[in-house]
Amino acid sequence: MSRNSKGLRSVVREITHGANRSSLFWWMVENHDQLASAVEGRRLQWTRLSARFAKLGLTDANGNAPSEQTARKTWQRVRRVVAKARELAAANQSARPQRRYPSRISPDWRPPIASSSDGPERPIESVRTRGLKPPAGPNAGALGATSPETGGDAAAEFSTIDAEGHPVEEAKVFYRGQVMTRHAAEQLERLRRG
Amino acid sequence: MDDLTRLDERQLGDPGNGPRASDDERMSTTAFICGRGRVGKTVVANTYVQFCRQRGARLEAWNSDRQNETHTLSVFHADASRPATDGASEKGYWFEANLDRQARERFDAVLDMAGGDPMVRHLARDVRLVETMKRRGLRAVAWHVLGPEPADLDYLKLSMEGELFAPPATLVAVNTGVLVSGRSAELAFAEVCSNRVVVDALDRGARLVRFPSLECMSAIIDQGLTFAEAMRGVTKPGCQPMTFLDQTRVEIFWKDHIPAFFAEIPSEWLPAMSGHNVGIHEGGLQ
Repeated sequence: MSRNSKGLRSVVREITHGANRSSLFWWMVENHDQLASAVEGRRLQWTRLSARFAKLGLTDANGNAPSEQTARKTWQRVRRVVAKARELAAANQSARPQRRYPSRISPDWRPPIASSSDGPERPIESVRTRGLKPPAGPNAGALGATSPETGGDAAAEFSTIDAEGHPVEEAKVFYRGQVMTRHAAEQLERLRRG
Repeated sequence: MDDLTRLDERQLGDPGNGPRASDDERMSTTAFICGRGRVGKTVVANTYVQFCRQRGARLEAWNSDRQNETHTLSVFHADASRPATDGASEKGYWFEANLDRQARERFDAVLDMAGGDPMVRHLARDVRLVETMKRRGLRAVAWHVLGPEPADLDYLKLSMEGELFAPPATLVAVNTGVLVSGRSAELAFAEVCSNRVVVDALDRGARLVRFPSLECMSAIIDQGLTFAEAMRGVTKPGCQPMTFLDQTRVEIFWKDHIPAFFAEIPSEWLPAMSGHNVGIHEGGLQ
């Protein structure tokens, strides 16, 4: 399976909330583009197609060979879901911050101010934002200071789908086999990176 | 006065004539260095005091660990305050008096606790310690020092249960100094860090930091030296002098690793530091 189809599959799973879908459904998702271009402007012969699907071992949600009507309805559902998945993926792509190259970063750049856990409205200043020099060199700190190049924690990306393929709840991510806040995942990942 | 403040007043009672925080005043910090025994709390507390004082902090050291007489904060800092005895009530009285004085005099403080000491948890339950301190202009900062054993999580677990002692300013510090030399810190702490107790603390906003190791730490502690003294090669009478390589190890630790460690902590969770020696990398190895 290609990386793209894996990604599409996971977004579709997110949209369908992990509902128990048939093998026919997933086959159509994975072969969506070829099918869509093949059927463009044509009337499909669902009787013949459903027989072909059965030969391929594809079944409906109950494990039975798909009927003509099931095949047609499944295809309609797949088209809707895939279109929605692509819309979502495009929206996520445009919302994601663009990668910044070190040479394009202003020398006046300072790490972003972290939020205080005392309250979201109250910013907390890190020691290094008080004009202190960050450590440097091969012996620099065990954790290493956040560098402007990496943008610190903000650079980390985490899955929003759990091991079962289910989307995790809002504002949470799935990391190291557990659902947790993004903050928690960032802290663990930072420690892991050393 | 907003609803939240009114609720606080009702729940906690009016502070009366006691000292209280003004809105534009920086909160003083009280660092609670806590955890199970033998995880390196005193090393962390000692490093904290040396680091902050060198940078001009007006910091009091409170040593409530009367179970330990050899490796105690008082060995390194003669001015460290101690309770008269190890009795729970004596210790409680001593701590409350110190806290009250801190609220009036506005300095920063660090409390080195004995392993598993329940004093703070009891106070947290009885007088809503974190909120009460906040109303007096004091920020409670919990430092949970952890070794690599799952049992090291017990204190954190007990503190977090029912948010008994779970201040918004909470640090989970994994101490790589307690690892056997050469052991990968990532692997050694993997189990502890992925434990739900740690994840829950992080979910509530705690920060996870890694306290750096120093190979010759025990030699420094045994002699009761400060890091600056060890770096200069000071030797206490009757003790083995440090090799020049160990001196360099101390220098790397003190001038590079420790400033990097503190740089990961929000400044408001640390004592106010000022003066010319504030640079966290000043004089570091080139």
